[in-house]
Amino acid sequence: MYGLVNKAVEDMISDQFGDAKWGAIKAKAGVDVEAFVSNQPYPDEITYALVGAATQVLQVSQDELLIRLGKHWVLKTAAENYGPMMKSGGKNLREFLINLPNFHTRVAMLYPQLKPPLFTYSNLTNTSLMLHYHTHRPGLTMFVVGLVQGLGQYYNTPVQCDVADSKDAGGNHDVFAIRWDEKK
Amino acid sequence: MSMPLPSRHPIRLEGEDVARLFPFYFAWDPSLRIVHFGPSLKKVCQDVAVGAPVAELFYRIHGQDPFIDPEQARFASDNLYLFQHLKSRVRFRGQLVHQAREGQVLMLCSPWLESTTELDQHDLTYQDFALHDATLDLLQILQTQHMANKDLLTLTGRLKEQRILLKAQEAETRKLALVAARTDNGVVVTDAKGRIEWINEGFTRITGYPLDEARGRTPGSLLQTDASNPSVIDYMRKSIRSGQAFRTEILNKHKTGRLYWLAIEAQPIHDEHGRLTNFMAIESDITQKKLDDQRRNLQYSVTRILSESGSVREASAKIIRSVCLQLGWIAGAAWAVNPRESVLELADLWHEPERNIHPFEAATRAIRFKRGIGLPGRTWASEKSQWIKDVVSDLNFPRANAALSAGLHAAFAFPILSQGTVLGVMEFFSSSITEPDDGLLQVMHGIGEQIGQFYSRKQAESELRESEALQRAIFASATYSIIATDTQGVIRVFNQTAEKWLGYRAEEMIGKQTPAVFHLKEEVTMRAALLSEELGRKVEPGFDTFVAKAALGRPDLQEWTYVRKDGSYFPVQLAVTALFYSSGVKSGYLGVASDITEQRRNSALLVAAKEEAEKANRAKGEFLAAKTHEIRTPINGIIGMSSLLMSTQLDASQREMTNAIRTSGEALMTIIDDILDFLQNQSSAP
Repeated sequence: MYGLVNKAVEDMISDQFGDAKWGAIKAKAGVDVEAFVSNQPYPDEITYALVGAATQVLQVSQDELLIRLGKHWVLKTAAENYGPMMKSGGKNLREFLINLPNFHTRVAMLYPQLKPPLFTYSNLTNTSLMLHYHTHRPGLTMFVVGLVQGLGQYYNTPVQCDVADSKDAGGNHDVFAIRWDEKK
Repeated sequence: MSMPLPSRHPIRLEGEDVARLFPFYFAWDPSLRIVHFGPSLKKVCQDVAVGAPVAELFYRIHGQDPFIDPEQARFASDNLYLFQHLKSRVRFRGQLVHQAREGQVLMLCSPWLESTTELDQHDLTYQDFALHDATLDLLQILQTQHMANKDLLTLTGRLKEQRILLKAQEAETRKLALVAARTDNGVVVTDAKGRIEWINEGFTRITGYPLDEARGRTPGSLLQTDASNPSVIDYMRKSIRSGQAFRTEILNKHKTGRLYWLAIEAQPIHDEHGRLTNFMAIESDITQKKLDDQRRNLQYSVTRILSESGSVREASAKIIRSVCLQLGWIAGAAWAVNPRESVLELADLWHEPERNIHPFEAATRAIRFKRGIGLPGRTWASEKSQWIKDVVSDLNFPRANAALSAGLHAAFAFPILSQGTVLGVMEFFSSSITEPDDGLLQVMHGIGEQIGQFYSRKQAESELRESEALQRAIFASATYSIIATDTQGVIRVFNQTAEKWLGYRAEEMIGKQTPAVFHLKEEVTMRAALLSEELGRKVEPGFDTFVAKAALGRPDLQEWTYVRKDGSYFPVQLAVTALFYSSGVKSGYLGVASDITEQRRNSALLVAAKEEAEKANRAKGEFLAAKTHEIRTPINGIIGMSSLLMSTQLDASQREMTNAIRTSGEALMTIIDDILDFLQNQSSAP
């Protein structure tokens, strides 16, 4: 994964739990990278090791940690670094979700070695849709839930995101049932 | 197959398409006025309007004569144009297209932005750009690059911090390395199995081994000896095997064979993964401290033995044993000075029970030493402690052969001194040849003096006991009443005779009564009056009366009447003396009284007998004088007649006999006269 992801993990943990915890997590994960460079690819194992160590050091479940990460990703990482892109993603949550494929095409241009996930949607209504998430990376289902919750906050729209199906539960891919308030 | 050139296949674009594909374009006519422009341009250039003079809106950066008429523009289509909008300062990058038929020049361009923040400034979004326009994506790449730069700056910053930290640590490490290298302590670093990797100079100084001889070996194999404590060795091995820190003390051997005591503090060293990689030990030579401890213990144990022992004999036996055990020496003996014969005689001998030193013991028991002979004799003569490195080769050691057989070598002895006099000598023997240890000798000399003092004290105690016993016996057996008081008159001593005479028991008198209890009040009052007159001061009738003279240091011998408990009384002659502490302060008074009842009776009888005798004597004198007078008359007859007879005619024989009668008569008369003179003298004597 690109350094940006690991950096997001670092930022989130340092912000929410303190630098000392981040140091302990890095030591526990056996990661001796001093600082991650956003546009440099790193082995996926590093990210998984950091997340694994973080759950132990912080005494939080992996699901909770991934949700926190997803929210942090949208509200801090993306908003601060890709503001215009985020803004162009849509005027509201619904538009943004619909534009997700375009968004990832642009992201792929920025990060040539990225193997971006594929997002599609179905069952579109004014206040809901089913989001389909295809990825070769396992275990990130709750990260997507965090992303959607983060988007809800970004657009100031109360949103509900449930896992309707998942690879872990034997499905072909992860499916999220998303509902939001119509006001926006 | 060659691609057909577009020029051969004219592509006509509707104005809408141009506006969609180039949303920031603008066009002007030969009068250099804007004729139309793209929908996004207005967002940035709010003053753009159809008919506005283009030169008032934009100027060309680099190059001359920017706003050319369409005719000239034909030749300028190969140039890259960069215009700046005068009001917003936004630059536009693009190229000119000359449309001869329409008589206009099109500037197909996009804003030239340097950061995504400019998008926000002009409220531009992706929707304002043509999809084919890479400007925003490139800007995003730039942004990504900015982020990467920021990350790299962060990284550089952190590496810089680390480098500073590392440098500080290096400096610290250098200092520590210097300390480790230069410290007086030995420092040794081993691998996880305890094999030496590095040692400092201190280690070499303590052990005698340089690094190249020590490397690869365990400190134990290098330094330990048979004398090292096996349980300590075992403890260290177990600690190393289990990777535990340990601290201990052990007897080791220097490369030269000299034994020394080492204090070791070892710590395991782990790598960042917690694996044991090394041991680091700091070692210090504590031989001196051990010796000091040993000497202190020696002194302590001797002091304890002396305090617990009842006799010199008992103490010396215990001391020999204790010194041997504490020093690890084999045997010891005590010698006592026999002052009559002026020799040292064996008083005690002790040796380690497991060691057979029979030949030496036999030789020691069989010998006596004169001053200056052998180790005890030398010590006696010099009054100083002596050390012999090896008695076997000593010339003044009569028991040398026996010592050799018994395996004894080093020896030392010290005198037992009391007030400068040697009372005895103690000597000790080791199984090894040992250089003199002045410190130990000094300690032992002190111990000798301690034993001497003990001896003197015991002697003094014994003398004191005897004197006390004597005093008690005198008190008990004296036929005098002995009563002592403190300065206030309270009785402190009341001997058995006093008990017997007065009928009081000592315990009812001592500390409870004054002598007034057994005196006649009238007598005391009368004596007080007399004393007041004699001394010229008022003497109170009471205790003062008994001691008034003694208190002045004068002899006071008086007759008194003692009153018994039953009320009867008897005369005594009482001598009172003041008692003093050694400091000279008065401590009380002592009264020694003798019963003079008998004496008084005897002297009355004596007077009567004398008078009787004198009377008889006088009668005898008178009788003798009368009778002598009466004898004189016939004797005068004898002398007169014999003288007359001599004047007659007498033969020689008759004359001789008559002369003998007369001479005898005269002699008899002389005797009679002498008797009369004697009687005369005796009767006129007083």
